[in-house]
Amino acid sequence: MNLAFGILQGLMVLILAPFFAGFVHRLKQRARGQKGVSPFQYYRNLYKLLKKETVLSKDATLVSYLAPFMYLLPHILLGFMMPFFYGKPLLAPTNPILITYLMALAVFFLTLYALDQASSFGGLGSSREWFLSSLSEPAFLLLLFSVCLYSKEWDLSIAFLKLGQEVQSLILGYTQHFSVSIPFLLIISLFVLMLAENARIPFDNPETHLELTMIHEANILEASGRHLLLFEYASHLRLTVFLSLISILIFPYIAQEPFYFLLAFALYFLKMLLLGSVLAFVESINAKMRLFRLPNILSVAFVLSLLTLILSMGV
Amino acid sequence: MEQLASFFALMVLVLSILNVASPFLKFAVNLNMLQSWMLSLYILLVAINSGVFHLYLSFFATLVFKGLIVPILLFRVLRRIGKEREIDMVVSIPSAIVMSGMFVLVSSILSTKLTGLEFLFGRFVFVSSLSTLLIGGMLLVIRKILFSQILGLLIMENAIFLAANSAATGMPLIVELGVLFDILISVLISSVLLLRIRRSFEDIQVESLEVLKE
Repeated sequence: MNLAFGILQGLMVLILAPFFAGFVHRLKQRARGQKGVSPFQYYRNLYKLLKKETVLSKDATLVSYLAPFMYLLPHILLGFMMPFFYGKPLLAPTNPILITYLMALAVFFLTLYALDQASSFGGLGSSREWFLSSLSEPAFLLLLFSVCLYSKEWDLSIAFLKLGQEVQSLILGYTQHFSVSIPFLLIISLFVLMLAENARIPFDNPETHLELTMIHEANILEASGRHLLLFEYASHLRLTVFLSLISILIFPYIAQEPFYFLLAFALYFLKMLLLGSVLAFVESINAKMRLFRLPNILSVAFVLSLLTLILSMGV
Repeated sequence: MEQLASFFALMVLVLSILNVASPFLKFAVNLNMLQSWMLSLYILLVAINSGVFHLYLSFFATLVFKGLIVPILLFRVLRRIGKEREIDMVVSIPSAIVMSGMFVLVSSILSTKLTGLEFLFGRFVFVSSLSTLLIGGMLLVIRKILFSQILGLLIMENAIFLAANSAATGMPLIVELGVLFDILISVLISSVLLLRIRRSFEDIQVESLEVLKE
């Protein structure tokens, strides 16, 4: 029974990922005064890409055939690992290092694909991608560690479950040591990291192909057809995983019994829509930053996660 | 109550870290204003919790002096200086932020040595005030513009107020009023100095004072 619901949870997240990305995209377009495409547009894009043929440069090796799948695979694993709304995910024991490693592995294959095609933008894009992700990964690791330390549990799914129980006890009125500061800091630094890792606006603007500014797009510039489909879908999935992590922290309601599965899913969906609107708002009021100003924000996120670690050790 | 108080103390620290990160003068003044508001809210919570009457007066004085009069003065000076410009620092911004993270670590280690003392709202308030003090001192040293050195001084004052309210229930009212008046006068004098530097050098870098001028 648990197995079935674990699989169902992962599949639902996998299916809904392009919808969440499309929802954010539509909100951004509406904020700019455009009419806006439907939130289901990304499904049509993916279907269109499925029918197109893949063109590779003559310098491409075996790496180029493998890399798109290897970019998607860690994200699918993450989708089955996290307790998004059901307490017992399919691949149960997860720890912070595994999750951070999977994220880094995906970026590794993305940049390998860019380098393998031997285009001039590939090297540029991959060096920028690593510049950002090497700055954001220590912060992400510290952040997950502080969640673990706070709930005194190495398994992240149980750690989030404990967090949820604490919030429930806070609402019911008897609370002992629930802290306001730790979730606040976690949400802020996780939001900054989400913007950085998903190529969102103060860090990168994936809608343009201006050679001076692009980071994520420069890596997948050579991709076409099926390969582009895999990359696009995986980046939607990456956004969804990050948003879900924040949504668990905002209001951690995770179903433990199959009976509450639908209720938890409805809450999760609402939280994701809310977070998507916040993301679209933040992206609309900000402008793209200069590349060399990005370490300022990322180091703030790093220090905030360090602060969370100190707080969760109970100083 | 205790959680809320430690949240405000945390916000004082977070806002000073953001102040290190901010490359713009106006944004830094805004952050400083917000920090003073957070500090005064913290003092209000201490006042409610301990029931000492003069802390209410202290809350009011902090809010008016630090939260309103000083920022308004600073904004006026900013308008007189004219152009919005980036803050030059001796070290780069990311390394300054990482250094402030080090200060937080050091002060949290130091605070574990203070075992005999009783704190009103937990030990973290003391950690926050000590690290804010160190960050303010760092800002005084590493920034090249006189204006942002005033900001560093204000951050240090906020930290001292927080420290005074973390262990004991504040300073005596007469001391507090004296300190607040002191801050006001020092901001006034340094803004006059700032405008004079600007008039004679057409810039507000402190370094330009090092060269002789007829």
